[in-house]
Amino acid sequence: MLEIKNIKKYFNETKAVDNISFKVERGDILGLLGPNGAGKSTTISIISTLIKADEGNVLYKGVDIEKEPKKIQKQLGFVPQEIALYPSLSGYDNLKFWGKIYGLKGNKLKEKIEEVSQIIGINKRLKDKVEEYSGGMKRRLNIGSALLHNPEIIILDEPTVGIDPQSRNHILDSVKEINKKGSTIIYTSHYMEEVEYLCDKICIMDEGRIISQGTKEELIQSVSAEEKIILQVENINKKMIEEIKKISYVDKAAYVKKEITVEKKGNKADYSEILEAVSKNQGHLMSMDIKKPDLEFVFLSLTGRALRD
Amino acid sequence: MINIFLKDLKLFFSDKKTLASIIVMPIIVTTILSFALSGSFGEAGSDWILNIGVVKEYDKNSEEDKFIDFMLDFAERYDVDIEKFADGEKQFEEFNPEKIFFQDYLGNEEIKKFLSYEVMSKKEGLKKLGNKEISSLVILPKNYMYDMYINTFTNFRNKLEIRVISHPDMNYSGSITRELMKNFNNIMSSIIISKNVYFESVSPYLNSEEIGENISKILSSNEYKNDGINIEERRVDSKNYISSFAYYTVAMLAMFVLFISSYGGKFILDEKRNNTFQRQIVSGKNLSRILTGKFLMMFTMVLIQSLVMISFSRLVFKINWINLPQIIFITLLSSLMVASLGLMITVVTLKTNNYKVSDAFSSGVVQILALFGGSYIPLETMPKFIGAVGRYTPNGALLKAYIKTLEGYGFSNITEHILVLIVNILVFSIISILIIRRKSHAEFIKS
Repeated sequence: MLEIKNIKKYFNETKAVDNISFKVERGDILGLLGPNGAGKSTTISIISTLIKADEGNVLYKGVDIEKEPKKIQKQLGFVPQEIALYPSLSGYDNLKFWGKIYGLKGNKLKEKIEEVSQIIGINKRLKDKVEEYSGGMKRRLNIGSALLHNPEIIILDEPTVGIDPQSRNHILDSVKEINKKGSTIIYTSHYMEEVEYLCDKICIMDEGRIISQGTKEELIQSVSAEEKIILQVENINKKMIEEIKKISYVDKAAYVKKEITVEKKGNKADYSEILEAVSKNQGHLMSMDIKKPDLEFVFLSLTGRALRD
Repeated sequence: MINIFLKDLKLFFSDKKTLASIIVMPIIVTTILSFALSGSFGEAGSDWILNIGVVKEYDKNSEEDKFIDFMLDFAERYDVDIEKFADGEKQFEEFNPEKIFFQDYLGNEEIKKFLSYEVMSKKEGLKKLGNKEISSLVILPKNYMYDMYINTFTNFRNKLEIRVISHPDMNYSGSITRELMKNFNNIMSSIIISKNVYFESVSPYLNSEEIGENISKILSSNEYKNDGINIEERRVDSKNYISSFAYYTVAMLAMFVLFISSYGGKFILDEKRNNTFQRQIVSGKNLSRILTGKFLMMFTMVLIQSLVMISFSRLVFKINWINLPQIIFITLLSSLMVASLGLMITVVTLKTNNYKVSDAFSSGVVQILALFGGSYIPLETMPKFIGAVGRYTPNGALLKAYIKTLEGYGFSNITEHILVLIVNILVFSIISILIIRRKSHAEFIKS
């Protein structure tokens, strides 16, 4: 449906996007994950025809969007990172304007405003001016304004920045619901848990490049990440650590003060031998935490930095 | 495009501060200036009356007695037969300076059409002058009667000065009063000079009886009654008067419409800052459509502003907006001129990505144009070079076109101003198009 081929974009001497390629299929939720300045917003600005790539192509259904931008523009719902609304107009007037911009009118427009305002949960505040809305409501209206014309592709650029957890959850659920109705979604975020929750495919970006892409599982496997067990133990001794290391599914074991970190091999969900080794050596177990590998770990492994550094 | 235009119009009306500065401010400023500078303009209408006060500082009876004593003393000293020389009491009674001033001069039918006077004390007169109840105060000085008798019946000449005090805000009314008093002095002087010439040239050859008869004829020539007083009520060119209210309604309209031209730039930069501009571009609306929306918004706002000002001045100031088709035509041209100027400012603002352009225009350039275009002070009273420049400014041409229409001139008399407006429209539009064509869309979009 959408193919990004070797696109590059420079701003003066800075490489904002450096030779990136990926594909989006119909019905996908594709996540662009990366820290601020990774090139996510520039990439989607190119896809949405707002700016042109210096090199490379974006093909929508096989058509180069630089040559025929109208082709994708009509089928695109674009939700910019910043709130792109008219604060002195009401929520209803904003939706009405954006609906009309996409050619909706009359009863169809009214019906769509009704439907979208239900989805984003602002139907009771439609008459109020946007400047009177909370941050979360503005974000939701910002998304709603891009949904009115039933777009094939919806691009959401960091739609949850700076809002409360409740609104955030509402937005994430809304995105899933919209996807279920048939829209393809490109979602950018620097929140690993959002991308994990929503996306079927993920492109991890850093410094203008895609450093890894695939499903969540594929990404985790690509860095050979395994489960970790963190134990808080009183009275730790060397014999205890040696016995843990000898267990067949344990790869590594180490301790610092009262904390033992055990790295597992394989998917076996059995921890009894580790607990037995602790109690046998007069250790007193205070707590146990099992850490599964995540995208944060993947990013850390690939770049040596945390995602939110 | 219509959606963008309607949205911009809605945005304009949703901003109470902007609305107040565009609709309410011109009304307030027009009202203040019209009242404050009403004295600098002619009052319109045939019922226009010049109200003046007259102060009598003289004492009629004592000054008459004083003159009689003087004449008796004169006759005795020079052995003149006073009865024969001046035809006695009859002639003295006929020549009454008070009657001449009040009844024959100020009471003249021509003068009565536009002047109304009231005799009052000096204190009362100054108070009424301060309150603008009268425009001038005429003071007939002490010894007015005595000096008039001396100047008339003897060949002596005493200095007689009628003083006029005017209100500073009512310059034209004051000038008319001063001219009237000067005219009165001239008439009296010509009579007195005739009499003196007669005395000096003819008296040696005639006897006192004949001299008396002829002097009597000179004094009763009635010159001060009708001749020499010819007041023309109409303007030289037979056109309508422009009151201060009419002038400042038009002057403020011509100035305030220019403010609207800065709103296109302000609005588009607001949209760029809140990303709605970019969102419109992404939706497939190109720059031309967005700019056309702004153009239509400014065009409509000028029409609304003009309609409000014209209606307000008609209802409150009773200004007669004659020749409505011509007024509508000028208003449409004015809207086009402002919208094209606004388009140019919008494009430059978008290009520079800075509010400074539209701010500089509304806070600086408009004020300069207002001064040069005659919005504060009529161009006729300004230095010549300002008047010459002003008539080619957009607001100056607009003001002239409206004023001439109100004065009663037809289309052929305003063609110069119409052409100036059309040239302005073309220049602004061409500059805007050139800027748009020379720059890529990306340059307008980037923040």
